[in-house]
Amino acid sequence: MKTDQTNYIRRLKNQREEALEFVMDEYFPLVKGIVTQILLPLAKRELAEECISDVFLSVWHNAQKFKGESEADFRKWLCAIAKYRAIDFYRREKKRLEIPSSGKESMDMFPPEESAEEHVLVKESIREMEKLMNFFSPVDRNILIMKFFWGMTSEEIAKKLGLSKSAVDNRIYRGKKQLVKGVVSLGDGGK
Amino acid sequence: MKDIYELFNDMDLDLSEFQEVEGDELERARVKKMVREKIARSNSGGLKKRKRSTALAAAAAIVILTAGIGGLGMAFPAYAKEVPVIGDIFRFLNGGRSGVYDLYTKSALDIDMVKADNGIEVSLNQGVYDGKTLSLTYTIKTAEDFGENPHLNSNLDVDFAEGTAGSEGLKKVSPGVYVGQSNYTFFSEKENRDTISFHWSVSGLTNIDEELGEEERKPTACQLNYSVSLKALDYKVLDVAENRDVAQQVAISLKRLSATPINTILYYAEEVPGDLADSVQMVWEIKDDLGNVYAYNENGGQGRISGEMLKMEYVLTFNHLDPQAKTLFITPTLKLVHTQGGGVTIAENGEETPLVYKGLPAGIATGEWTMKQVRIDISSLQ
Repeated sequence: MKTDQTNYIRRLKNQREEALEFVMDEYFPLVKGIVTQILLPLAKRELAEECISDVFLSVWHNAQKFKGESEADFRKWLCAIAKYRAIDFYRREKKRLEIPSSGKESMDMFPPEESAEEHVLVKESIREMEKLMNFFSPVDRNILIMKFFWGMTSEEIAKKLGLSKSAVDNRIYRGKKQLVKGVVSLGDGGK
Repeated sequence: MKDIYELFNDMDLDLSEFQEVEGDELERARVKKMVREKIARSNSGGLKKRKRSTALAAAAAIVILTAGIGGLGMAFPAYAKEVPVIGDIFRFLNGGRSGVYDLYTKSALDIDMVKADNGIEVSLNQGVYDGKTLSLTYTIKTAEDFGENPHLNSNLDVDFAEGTAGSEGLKKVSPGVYVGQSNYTFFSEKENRDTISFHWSVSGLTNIDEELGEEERKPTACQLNYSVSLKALDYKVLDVAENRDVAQQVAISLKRLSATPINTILYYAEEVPGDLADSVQMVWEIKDDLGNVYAYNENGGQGRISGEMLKMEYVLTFNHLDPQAKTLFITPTLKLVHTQGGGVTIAENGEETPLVYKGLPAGIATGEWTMKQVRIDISSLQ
């Protein structure tokens, strides 16, 4: 039987390679759209392609973690990964941890000197951050994911969640403090 | 503990904020290759061996392979085991756009012979013979880089043809990996429409990048020989009723159409005064009663000089006819052009001679003349 719209998610979870082929054919333009939008300022074609392949690779390796049923759920999950991987690529490429596209605000958020947060993040603490996300309430977690994994601005997050910008900033501030504490207490062994 | 990929399940994303950006076939191929390589490297689970569809397997069964002709340094025939680099080479070379070759891969027979010599590995992937033109696709892997558009020194022999016209296209997929297509159109008294046995040989690969000097453009020699027999595609022929039309002393008559499962072949005759022969270009409009416009390829022709006139028989290939179409409208347009102009020739001693316009005969100017539209009832081909 052929891999098609009706069975590709199941097949992907079963690590069937043709399902990955199907996903790559089907979602290439969407992933490319997300990745190029984020990596656009860097104007590096190879980097974009590398990142697109990384997105599909992440989908492949983490397929079992997808919990949804429908095509729409899968699409959202894939977009979330694409955004996350693209921001990660962007940051690594820029070799500094500014949140892109947030302009002036990021200057306030991240003072020029290396902050404690920056310090730990530099030590490839993304993995740690992922784990720590579990300790937050769902709302805070969503905000922190949007902020740190997707590079959204506080305004964008506020608009999306129907909160005020200052409420979002507050939660980010508290979250960051907890994160730093968490990462530090986990120690350097985690890198 | 959930990791980020599980947490992403709970995130509500607004999909409307994303815009799709189409990628070309080359880009897709590169990305897919990267993914496959990374998966292979990570070794977690590994790639399951790709199964060929039964349809392809059935098609492959029809291919008759004959023993290769021995040669120095020749490898034993082997079959391609790996996943093809590019699924549809015909379409890939057409820039991923739809065109004349849309249906070729479906009907092409898998040959999958791999041979290597002197750092050049050539897999002869697929072949399709429509009764007039043989199209081959192949994948080349090289140890060293041969630039963006290398030239493949290849030759094709068949025993029945008196003349062969051909074209070749080669495109880089990634460093050291190229895919290509060659077309050979055969001209002979009697057409060979059942099976074709051919001998394809590759004698070298040349990097022809423009910035390279003459010295660096030397071909890297190899000796690769492939002997293959392919069954020709089914076909139906329709003779076109008398329709000769003349413009500027150039006469065009459509002779017949041949429909195969993948394309349509138009045979036409051209009579042209000898002194105009080099100046004639024909442009075609081919459409049907449903408004489909068909892209075409010119496949060359053969002919002879008869007194002052050159009488040629040409072949065009265009898309498979829309199965719903009943009538085809073909309109030839004659273009008379200067054959040369605006350039210089540089002799070995560096002397430059400007090329003068090779004039058209007195009383004849350049221009375009649209000829009579020919209307063909194609219901018998459907």
